[in-house]
Amino acid sequence: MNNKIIATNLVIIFITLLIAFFHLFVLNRYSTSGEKLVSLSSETEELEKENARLTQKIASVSALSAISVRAKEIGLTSSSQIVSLQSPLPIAFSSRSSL
Amino acid sequence: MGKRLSLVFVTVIFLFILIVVKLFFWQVVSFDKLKGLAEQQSVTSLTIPAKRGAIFATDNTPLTINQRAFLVYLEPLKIKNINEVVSTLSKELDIPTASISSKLKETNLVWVPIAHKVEEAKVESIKSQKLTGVGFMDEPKRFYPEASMAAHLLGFVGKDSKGDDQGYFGIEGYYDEQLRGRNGVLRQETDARGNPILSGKIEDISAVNGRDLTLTLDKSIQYVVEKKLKEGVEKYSAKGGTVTILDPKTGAVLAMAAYPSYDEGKFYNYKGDLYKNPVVASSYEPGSTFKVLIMAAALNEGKVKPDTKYNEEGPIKIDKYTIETWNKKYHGEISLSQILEYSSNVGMVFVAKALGRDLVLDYIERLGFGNPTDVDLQEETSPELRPKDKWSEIDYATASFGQGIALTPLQMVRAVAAIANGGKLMRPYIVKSIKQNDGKVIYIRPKVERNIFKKETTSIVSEMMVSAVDNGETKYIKPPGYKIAGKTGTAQIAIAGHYDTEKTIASFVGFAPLDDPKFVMLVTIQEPTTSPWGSETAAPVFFGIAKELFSYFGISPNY
Repeated sequence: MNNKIIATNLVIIFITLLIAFFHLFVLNRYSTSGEKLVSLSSETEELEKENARLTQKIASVSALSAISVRAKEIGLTSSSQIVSLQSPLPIAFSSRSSL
Repeated sequence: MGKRLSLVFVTVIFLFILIVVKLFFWQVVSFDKLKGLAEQQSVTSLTIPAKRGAIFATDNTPLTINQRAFLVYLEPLKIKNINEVVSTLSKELDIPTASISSKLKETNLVWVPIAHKVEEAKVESIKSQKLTGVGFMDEPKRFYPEASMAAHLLGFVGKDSKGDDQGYFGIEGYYDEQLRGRNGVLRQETDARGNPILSGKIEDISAVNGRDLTLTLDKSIQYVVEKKLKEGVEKYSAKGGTVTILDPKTGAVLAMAAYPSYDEGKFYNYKGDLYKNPVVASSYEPGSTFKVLIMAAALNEGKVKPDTKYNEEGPIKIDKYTIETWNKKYHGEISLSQILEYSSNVGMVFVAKALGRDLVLDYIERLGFGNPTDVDLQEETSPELRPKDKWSEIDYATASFGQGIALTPLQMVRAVAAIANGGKLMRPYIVKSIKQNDGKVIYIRPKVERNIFKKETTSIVSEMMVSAVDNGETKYIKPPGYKIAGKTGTAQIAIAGHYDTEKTIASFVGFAPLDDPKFVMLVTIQEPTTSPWGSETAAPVFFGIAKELFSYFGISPNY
């Protein structure tokens, strides 16, 4: 009976010490990881900034005013005459050509 | 011996009590103060700025987004060569040296803001000069890929009294709360080098970014409209003009332009009276364009029939006033359709008399005049209608041809849209969807305010309007092959209680194609000097835009 109580107490003490050491280990490891977090945050920030810069550039280049200028540069002009194709005429008029 | 022992014992007890009291003082009484001091040393607090929401056109291309910009500040105590810093910043930021120097006059300042929202390229240029005592803080600003397109509709972002960003006018003003979001806060324990301690205290309130808005505005149509409006105003040597285009079935604003306009990215370089959107915030007398509404009302009530005739034999006298036609020509017996074709003022007085005073006022109110349309633009106003007991006989007569009644361009085009869409008064709107931070999208649905006209009435009036275009003053300039329903308007401008004899507001309102209207448009030209008439100024601008819209919508001529 006494041996059982002593064994139980020893197990409790052992587990407590194990938890304490584990806690200490985790604290020690992550307490100094702040520097890595700062570095990763900076990297993320730089990528977000680059993203924003590229979004702005895409928006500028695809703006209608920019496209209009570029279209003029490569010789495109607005259509002066619109030709519309009519839908097929009813069968009674099949003697006339239709597009 | 016993006495000495007791003395030592008492002394030890006394010292023990002293220590306990001191510990109590430091750990309990001064707890908050010491905790604050400790946190100041080891806890940093960062504001996480919320990103302002973006604004997109109907095709999801950006109209307004955010770009990187910075607040440039000085730390006077760290500056080594003040003259070098002042002259460099003055040159780079285009600020007078005296202005920068005056901010540094107070000797005890540790932080002095110099310029807000400076663009990244400029900041890189300043950074490359490696000046000490110059710092930069993120302060994003708005970027407009389409430059000054739709400036009046979009509004701009300025500062409020606390120095925070705030939207003014247009969409930026109306939806400011949705767009601005809410800043977050990050409080965390840091080590001696300023790195966060992950196992330490972290308090994180995330920023809530502003919501993105997608508009009903069609960028391509807006581009054409702004170009044609500017050309028209310059060609007719006018003071200004507006163009408003709605989808008649839904009330969605497809385009809205006013000239002169301003650059919303540099709003501070323009006079304040340019900021208000004249389409929703300025009033005008509609002139003959109003005739289509009175005609529709009279037909709707059965007070006149499509085959009713009027004997246009000469001017009409009402009280001490004489009402004439615009060109002093009288055509004898004419139909209702011809009243619109000839734009006969005396003919419209006949129609309004048939409708009756009460119904004239009733329809004016039911068509939304005298009240704002509730469009989602900050600065919308509405001129008030005269109270019913202040209307005299001459007022009813002149209202029938659109004089003596003031309204905004948006009110007018919305009312005509009710003819185009079969009789429903729609609520005009510009934002079609709002995207929340969680990705969920809220759609704004079209809203029918009320039914005004019967479908048969709108069919009859639409045909009359086509006839007015085909046989009236615009018959030589309308695009061939299309059925366009429209009406010209030339209204004198009221100044100090009387009408100016020379100045007019020329306008044209219409919709097309007749069988399935894709757009309803109002063009107003303010004080054209080459010609005062709507048929010679506003109508050509209308038809110029309409031609482009037919091509854009793929509408073939079939008439």
